[in-house]
Amino acid sequence: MDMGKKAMGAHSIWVLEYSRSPVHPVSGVFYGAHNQGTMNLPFAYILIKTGDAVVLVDAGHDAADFGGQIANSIGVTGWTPPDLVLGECGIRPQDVTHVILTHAHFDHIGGLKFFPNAKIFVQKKELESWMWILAKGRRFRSLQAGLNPADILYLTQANIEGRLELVEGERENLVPGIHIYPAFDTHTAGSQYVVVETGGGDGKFVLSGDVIYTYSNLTGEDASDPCFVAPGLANGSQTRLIESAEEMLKIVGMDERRIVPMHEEQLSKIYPSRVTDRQLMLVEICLADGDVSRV
Amino acid sequence: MMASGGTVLRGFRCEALVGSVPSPDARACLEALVRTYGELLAIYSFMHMALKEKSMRLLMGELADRASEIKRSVRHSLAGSPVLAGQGHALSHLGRADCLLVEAEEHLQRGVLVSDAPLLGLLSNAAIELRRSAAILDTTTFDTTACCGGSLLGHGEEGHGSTLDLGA
Repeated sequence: MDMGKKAMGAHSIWVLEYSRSPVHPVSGVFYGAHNQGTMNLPFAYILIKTGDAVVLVDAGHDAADFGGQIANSIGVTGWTPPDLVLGECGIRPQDVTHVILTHAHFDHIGGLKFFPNAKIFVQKKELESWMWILAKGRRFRSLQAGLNPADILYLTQANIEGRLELVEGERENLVPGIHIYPAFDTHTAGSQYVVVETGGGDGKFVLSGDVIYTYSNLTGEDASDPCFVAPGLANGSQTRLIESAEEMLKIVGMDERRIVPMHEEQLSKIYPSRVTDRQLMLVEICLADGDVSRV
Repeated sequence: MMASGGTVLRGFRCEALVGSVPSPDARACLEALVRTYGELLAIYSFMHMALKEKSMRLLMGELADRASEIKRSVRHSLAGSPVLAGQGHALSHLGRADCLLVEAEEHLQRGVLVSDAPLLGLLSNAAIELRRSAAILDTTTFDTTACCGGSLLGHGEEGHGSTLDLGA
């Protein structure tokens, strides 16, 4: 399929860059790639517009909060607030009805406060694993990587407000045509990914979270002789990361371009895209019938 | 904790995010304290969530044990850190966070919450105080050395080969 031609259906999907790290270690993205320098790594969330629902896959982080300090410490720059990022697609943060968290790292969960009307979906196992790690103590602190205590506090508040739903395993049709599948013991203990059925006869898209950072995790950079290379930064096993990558590939009929990794810089070479005034990439994965292109 | 060490600053209020910490030893000690309290905040937040989610209660005991361990270590570092004398501003915010967390713990120990609001308020305010301490010290409220390759950056991840030359 020519990805430049949009698949018409029930859902519009955009990948919205909100920040980036120009100095992300290559070894964080590719297991075993030591001493191979740094690379550009976009930080993004994914917007799905469908019927009355506005679904966000992950929420970014808040530069003004603890997450911003963590981001600064690892070289993340150019943070842009969600009202401006979503505004490029004519959406306001308060319009977001669902936030699906692929996992609980600060750059995926830390922006939840910007979406006060959204119901939040995270795997129960993800939170239980954080509880376990914290209970184990200082010697286990390498497993705490990416955890921001303020985010847990926000989840607690959302739970009290009835806006937090702890998912256990699969959840089909969370919104019609949008499904959640677990990828346990991969990037994190309770990671999950999202499958969107476009409804336009063109099959499905997989929104991989950080189980897959880039297409090179699927191919090893040689499309003629592809080889899975698991992400370097992971709490789970390399084997489970690769098993989950294969599972995703099967869902999309082995067409890796239908897997959408949110840290992938090359998305703009596969799908229609544009650079916004704030120098952020906006990638249009597909458009619903009757919707207007934003690129 | 500070509450038992006699440096409680129950009425302390301050919005300013300035203050100098001249001694490197004092800075290191304060930064460690900020991060320790950050961990305690995360644990209490999870314990609050576990009170609401029955299936998560299995881990309550372990979290409570870890919280006790953290409090012991705070007491120990305060007792053995004369360098903190006179390090007023950041320490005052930490003292306030400490008070709030002590109160939060009392709520958690009761096991049943009539209302969530008081505990949530205590934890939220403790988070604000910790954030102020961290801002004064220009540090993070949690240990980020292992985060997303941060430790690799600290050691200078230089290029020595092709991206995917894995040596296989």
